[in-house]
Amino acid sequence: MVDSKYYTTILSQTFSPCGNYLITGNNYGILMVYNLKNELQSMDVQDQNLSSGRSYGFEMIRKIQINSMESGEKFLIIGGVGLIVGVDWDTIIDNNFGENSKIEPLSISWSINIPSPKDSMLSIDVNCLILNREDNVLYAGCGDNTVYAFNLECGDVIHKFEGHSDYIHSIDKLDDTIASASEDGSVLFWDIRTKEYSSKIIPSNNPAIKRPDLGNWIGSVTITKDWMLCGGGSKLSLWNRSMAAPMTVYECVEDSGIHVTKLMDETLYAGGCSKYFYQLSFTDEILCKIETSPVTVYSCVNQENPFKVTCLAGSSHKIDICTNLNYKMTTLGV
Amino acid sequence: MNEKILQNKPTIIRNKEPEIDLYTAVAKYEEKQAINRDENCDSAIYFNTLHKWQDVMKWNFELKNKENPPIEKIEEYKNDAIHFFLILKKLNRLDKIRSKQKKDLLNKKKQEIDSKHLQQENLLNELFYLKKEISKCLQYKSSDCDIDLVPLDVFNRESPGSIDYIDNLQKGLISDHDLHVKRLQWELEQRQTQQKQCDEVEKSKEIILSEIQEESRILQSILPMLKDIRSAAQPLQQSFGLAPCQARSYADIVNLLPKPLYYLYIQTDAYREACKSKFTVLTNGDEEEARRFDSNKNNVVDTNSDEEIDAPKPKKRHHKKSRTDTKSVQQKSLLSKHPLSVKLTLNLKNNTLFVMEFFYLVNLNLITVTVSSSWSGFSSSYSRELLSPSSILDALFPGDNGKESPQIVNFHQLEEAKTELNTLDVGKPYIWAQSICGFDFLNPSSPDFLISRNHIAQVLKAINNRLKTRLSLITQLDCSDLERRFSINGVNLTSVLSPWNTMTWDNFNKLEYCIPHVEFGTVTENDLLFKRVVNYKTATLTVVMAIKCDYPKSKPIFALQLNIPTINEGISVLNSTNNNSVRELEREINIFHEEVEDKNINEMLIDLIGRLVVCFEVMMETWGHTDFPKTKTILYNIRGRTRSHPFKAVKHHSGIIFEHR
Repeated sequence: MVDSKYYTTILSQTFSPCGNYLITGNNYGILMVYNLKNELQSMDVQDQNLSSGRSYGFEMIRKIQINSMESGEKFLIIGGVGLIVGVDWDTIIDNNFGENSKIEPLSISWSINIPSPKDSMLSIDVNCLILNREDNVLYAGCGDNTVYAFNLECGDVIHKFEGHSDYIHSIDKLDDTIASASEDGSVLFWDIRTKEYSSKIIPSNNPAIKRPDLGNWIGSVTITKDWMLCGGGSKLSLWNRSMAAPMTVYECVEDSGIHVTKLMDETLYAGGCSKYFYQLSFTDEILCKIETSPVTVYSCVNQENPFKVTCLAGSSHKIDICTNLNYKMTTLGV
Repeated sequence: MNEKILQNKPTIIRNKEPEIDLYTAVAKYEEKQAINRDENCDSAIYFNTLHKWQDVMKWNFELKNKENPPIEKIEEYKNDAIHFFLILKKLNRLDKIRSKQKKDLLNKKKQEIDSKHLQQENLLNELFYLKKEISKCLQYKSSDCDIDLVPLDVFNRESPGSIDYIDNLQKGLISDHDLHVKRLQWELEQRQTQQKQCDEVEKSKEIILSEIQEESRILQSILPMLKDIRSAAQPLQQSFGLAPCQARSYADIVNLLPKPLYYLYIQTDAYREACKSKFTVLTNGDEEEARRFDSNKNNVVDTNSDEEIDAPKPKKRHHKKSRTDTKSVQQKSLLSKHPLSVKLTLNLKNNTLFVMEFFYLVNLNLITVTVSSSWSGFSSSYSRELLSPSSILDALFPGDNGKESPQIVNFHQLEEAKTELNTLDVGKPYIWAQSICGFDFLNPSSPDFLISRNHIAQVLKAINNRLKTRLSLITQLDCSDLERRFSINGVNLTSVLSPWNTMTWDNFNKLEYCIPHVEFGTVTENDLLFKRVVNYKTATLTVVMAIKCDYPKSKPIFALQLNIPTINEGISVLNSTNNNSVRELEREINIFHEEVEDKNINEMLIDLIGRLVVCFEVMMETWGHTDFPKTKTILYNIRGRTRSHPFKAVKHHSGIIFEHR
């Protein structure tokens, strides 16, 4: 019998508010907590007996696949299938949990159900979560082609951003703008105030970007004030927002589907179904590439404090940890 | 002159006053004179005097013849003659004294010589005696040379006091002799202790003998009682219609079986009778040879037991040394079998016989099994593989592959002899084979029939089960009418399947999409590997299947590779290491098993392959490729960030609907 661990897919990761813990959620509905501080220290001091620093796990109700996570101040917000749940950090982060290796059920503080649309059997995946900490509004890119805005104070839906014709892969938010990438091949820019989409970009309309064998879907989108980086079945491409025109089409990236994009400090990051996780310049140029353990990278999270770390996870039980994005430092979850 | 000296004497005599002692004094004086005077002088005086005497006489005679001799003359002559006569007398006395003295001296000397002679004689005797003694001593030989001593280096190591004798000897601190004495003492000590042990053993032997006598006496007394019981039971048995109980008798050869095989024979025979199972148990081998072997073995056992006693007491190692030359012979005979073996024959359908032969490796104290069978009607390569005698009983119980000796003490024996258990020749030493012969492999002493009794049923059931599952596996692998089966379930399959082919472990290791399974340890060298190709329109799925030895307990494991045409007429090769969809298809088939209670194991593999083909077709139809129009009821093509396909089949009132997990 094959160990099901072999086929684990980690779809989302997040850091605890203190920054010492990495939380991952996989397709079997298991939430794993890794003590990053210990894991990183143990590399410096090899002989330390860090039994208390080992990872421990929790089980999601009904073993629902964990699609997305967001780290709130008081709660860890988990996007599953058909519901979003909040879990008090105190019930997850505790040094004593590492002692018993048993996977315990997750104690849920609150939950928001996303009802299935009428005359449909579909249960809605919550594919992407973004929390606006200032007004405590949670944005969720979901499987019913809709981006939801929830008021976390009362759990009510503030608004539904409807306009896509297929499910949402990824959303990004900057000030009053939300960008959503969808399976239908389009990226929509929403204005939170007017609750309408202001512009629509379909990268696959550009023959230089389109990859017919992989499809038109957009797996990930990242926006800054001037730029929009997106990719998926279509090639990774950098767009000028004001002109709505592609600036750079990345030919140098060898992939069969982009699932992660990031834009930080004048550097672009991209990963997906590829052997490597790429660091790119604004022009079609590879700055650095890291070989990854997962076949497909679905999640990349990074933090600066209390220590600088970037974690890559995807369709593998292994998580690649880099303290410097130039090389892979260690692998968790082996 | 002489006269003067002689004249002086009277004056000396005169000086001697006492008249009484005159004679003795004269004698003494004369004795002194005799000693002091020179004999030769005296003799000259004598002859001189004598001549003078003669002259005087002659003159006197002449004178007398004359007519008127002068008287004065005659008187004068007369005085002279007296004078001479006195001298002569004196000389005569002296002479007498002298001769007496000389005689005395002579006697004295003679005596001395006699005593000396005697002494010499004595000394000579003594010398001769001593020489004899010395030669005796030289010829003396101690028997210590004949004593077999511990070699010097061994003695040096083991003697008490931890003194380095060799070193001392070389430095000259200890002589050869001293060392020898020490070694002799050591030997004596050892021998005494051994004698003591021997006595103890003898004593215990006597005790055991008496116990045996006692027991046999008791047993003999039981016999009439048993006879009584039997005769008493007879009417009852007759009334129940049972055959009167008869003493079970086995052929003589059964008694010649080594203990473990004997247990096996008795237990299997008893089990066969109790369960009316369709198998036979026979002994195999030459009776004569077994008898000969038995008598030889007794000797072998003796030396073996010696060695066993030796082992914890290394001081007797010099005895072992002499055996080193026999060791090579032992190496050769390490794998020797007992001439008798037990043959267990299972009768299967179609007059097929499945024969297991159990051998006893005498020196390793191990049971091995060889398998032979008379399968017929199986032509495919995979059926040969599945029924291969060398692997069909592998992993009958978890981890029991018969690769190495389960007897914990054998490892070094085999290592030392650089021998491996050649499984073709001697058979495989499965743990279950040891168990049914009464060996507890953690406790390698003697076999115990309780262990044999407790395992026999379980093992025979497992073997039967193994044969059944293997045969069913072959019929399932032969099965080619998947379409018919699944169209009944409301799913139309249009894929074309190639027949199964076997695959070698090396080839499996070379395939990129199989390596992760090897690395993760889910597929091992012991597994049976098969390969087939599934064609669905333009897509080709290569299916590699690994069947564990303990199928169906462990489910088969699949590794998949998909070839699909690309738009620009190329072919993309996708597998679990570069494509998430193929990875999820693999996950679907390897992990999510539909647990149905009353599932027939004869259908398991067919169902699994059927499900794989269905999922493959569903995957292709939801791929978004124009070559694959939808033929199945699918609600949503792909879902989620993983873009997963709907593999889960759900029975719906209108047929089967495919959903996402």
